[in-house]
Amino acid sequence: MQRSALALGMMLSCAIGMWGARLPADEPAPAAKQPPGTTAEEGRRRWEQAFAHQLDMLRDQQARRRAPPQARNHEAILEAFRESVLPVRLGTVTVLDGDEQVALGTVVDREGLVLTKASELRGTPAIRLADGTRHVAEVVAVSEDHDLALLKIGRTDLEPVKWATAEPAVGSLLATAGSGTRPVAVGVVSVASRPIRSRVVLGVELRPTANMAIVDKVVPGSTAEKMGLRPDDVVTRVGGREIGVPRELVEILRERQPGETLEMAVRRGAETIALTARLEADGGLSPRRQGRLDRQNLLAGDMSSRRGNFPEALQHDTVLQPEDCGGPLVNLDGEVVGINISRAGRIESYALTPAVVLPVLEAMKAGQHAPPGNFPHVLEGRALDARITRQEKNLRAAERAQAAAERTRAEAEKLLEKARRQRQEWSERAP
Amino acid sequence: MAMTCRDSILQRWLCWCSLLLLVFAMPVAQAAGDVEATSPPAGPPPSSTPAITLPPGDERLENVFAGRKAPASKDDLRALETRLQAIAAAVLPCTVGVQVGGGSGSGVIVSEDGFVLTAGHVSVRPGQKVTIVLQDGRRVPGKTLGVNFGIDSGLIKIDGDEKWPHAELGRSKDLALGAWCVAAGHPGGFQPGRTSPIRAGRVLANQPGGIATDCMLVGGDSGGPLFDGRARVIGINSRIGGTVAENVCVPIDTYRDTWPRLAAGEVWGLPARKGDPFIGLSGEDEEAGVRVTQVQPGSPADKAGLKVDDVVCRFGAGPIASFEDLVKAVRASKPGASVAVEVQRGEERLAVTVIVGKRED
Repeated sequence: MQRSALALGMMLSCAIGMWGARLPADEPAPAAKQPPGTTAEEGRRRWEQAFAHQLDMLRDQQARRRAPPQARNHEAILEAFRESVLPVRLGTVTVLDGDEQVALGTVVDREGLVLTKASELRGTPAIRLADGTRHVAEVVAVSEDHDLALLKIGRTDLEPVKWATAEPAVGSLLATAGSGTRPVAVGVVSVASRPIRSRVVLGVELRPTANMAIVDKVVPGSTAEKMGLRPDDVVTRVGGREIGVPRELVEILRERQPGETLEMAVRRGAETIALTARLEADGGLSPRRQGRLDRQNLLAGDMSSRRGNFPEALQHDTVLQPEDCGGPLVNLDGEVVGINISRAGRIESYALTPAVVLPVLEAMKAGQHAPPGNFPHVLEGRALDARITRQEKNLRAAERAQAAAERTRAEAEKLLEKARRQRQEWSERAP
Repeated sequence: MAMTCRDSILQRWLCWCSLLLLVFAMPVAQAAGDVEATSPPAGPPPSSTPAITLPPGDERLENVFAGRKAPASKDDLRALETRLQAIAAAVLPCTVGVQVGGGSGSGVIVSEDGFVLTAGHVSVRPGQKVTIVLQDGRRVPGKTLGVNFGIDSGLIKIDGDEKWPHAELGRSKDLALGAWCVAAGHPGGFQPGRTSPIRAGRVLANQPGGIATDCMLVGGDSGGPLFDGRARVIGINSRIGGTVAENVCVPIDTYRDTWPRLAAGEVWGLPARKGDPFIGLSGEDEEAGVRVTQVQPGSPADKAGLKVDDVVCRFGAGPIASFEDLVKAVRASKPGASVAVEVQRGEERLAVTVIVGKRED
């Protein structure tokens, strides 16, 4: 019971709110602290507990990486899609760095050509085919615009995927093929193909006021910090436009692209100061760093490092891991309707449609988009970064385990103390 | 949601905006300017004029959609897909963006005359001016009506007497686990060039206080609709948790049940706050009154000698038939007042006096 109350508190504390009402996810349960009695909440307590219990069970199942039996991605549903991913079974490959999967790949030519997501490549790329064989891959071409890389392995008997001729309608079922006979996950088309712009993020949190944009916090390392914004600054003008409601600042930023220069007037105390920023995608922050600001999006798992700035992509709701990108996204007939190119948030994955992929593939095959000379060096750097990230994750897990052990220890000490005291009292009472 | 004061709710609900890291919110004190007297629009929940026509499906499809049968073949999936496409196309025009104060949420039009369902934490309080953003980007003015903070339901009416595209209300009570559903909304606020992202999933938990599905939701989706297999609204997006299974909607039945209160601009379900009258017991409804399940040690109820399993039948002048009655009666009393309470303890009928205390946190 204690557990479900805690879980409930955590859940309630994550109300999705108006555009991102963001609340501490690990706050202790307010419901559990509430003295029993006469609040209006009390009337709701019973169903809340029942609901919390149901959610608890769901959470447990998720923790064991098993979809609840009713879930969209339960194995029984995935099994029904088996026939749909069968046609791309041999056309789906795993892209590796050492033994670790960094992406999936899509076979596009018998002569050993595979498309994958460029920005996930690292180290010395290798490919594992559906037949289990492993091949070192050469990076033949890279399109920065599309975040696609063309890899080549020494085989001439691959089975390329079949491309769909039309874009599926919104609501159509989609399966992301993986290395198994069932799809990795399934979903539906959320939004028809459209240009996906980068998210320009400043890296400030504003005060909850309706009529002024007052800086509350500045995220270390962000564009906002680099441009010199400080807490308590009042943003009055941006790019020549007056700022009243905070939303206006969002609207201006939404129209801007990374790399552009943004001029801003802020009131600091009695002075008015002019600041200039060179805008960066995602505020120049890594997804984890942004995670502090964008926690809701991270609630469903990690995101791709590149999440925007695609000429055109289809948005779907399949829950993917970043390393599930690069492979084929198919319709019920097993035709490829897209290559998954980004896990961009809790609700969104993006795929490049054949209409976008095929022309760039032709250009790549024709010898364009050769990778930059320093590409192997870049891949080496990414491999080192990945090692850091992995060890940081291990460290965090160890710290959490340590904190839990310390709590258990403190609890045990308390109980020991109490037992000794009772023993003492007993001996004093002895006749 | 057990927050201790009104200010803190507003702060909690409104404090943050994630994607571009700008906060959308409005302090409570600032509210006075734009609050008008609410004129309660009369009438029951919107009539269920079939607003949306879907292609017919056979019994097997209906069974799959209702969660009674898992799709087992490509044919099943094909039928499911055809229905999902039809639902997606039908619901987009009814799904709207809602801009209140500095913030953006979502909503769904459910009547021809422009009633919009949303989440309580989106509309926040009655009588506020809001902007409704339609599918084509057109902005129309509206006004917030009632709010139930307890369950997070809210109602808005679009101004004027234009006829609006709208969705029909469904029923949430009997939704089976595993039933397929479709969610819509405007995550991150309405974005020109992007239709409301359609998400499909299944019902994973269903209680009078919430429906959890794996239709993924995120900030800005609040107030947006959840639809069943016939494109009827069965829930309103409310909150999320740490896993893909925790996307929680307010069940539609509460909107049906409380329609007159919402339409009349009533606010209720606010969390208790410090200084409120307080007696310190928990209970559950029973035929004869409220059975005490817990007495907080040292509380007024404890001092008066109330015990677990006592059945409270009367508090002051009023008979108590449900826990709701008891809550109302306590709230109506004053801290420090002596109140005669009648309880049934086993065969005995007891009269005790409770000195109402003050909530301390």
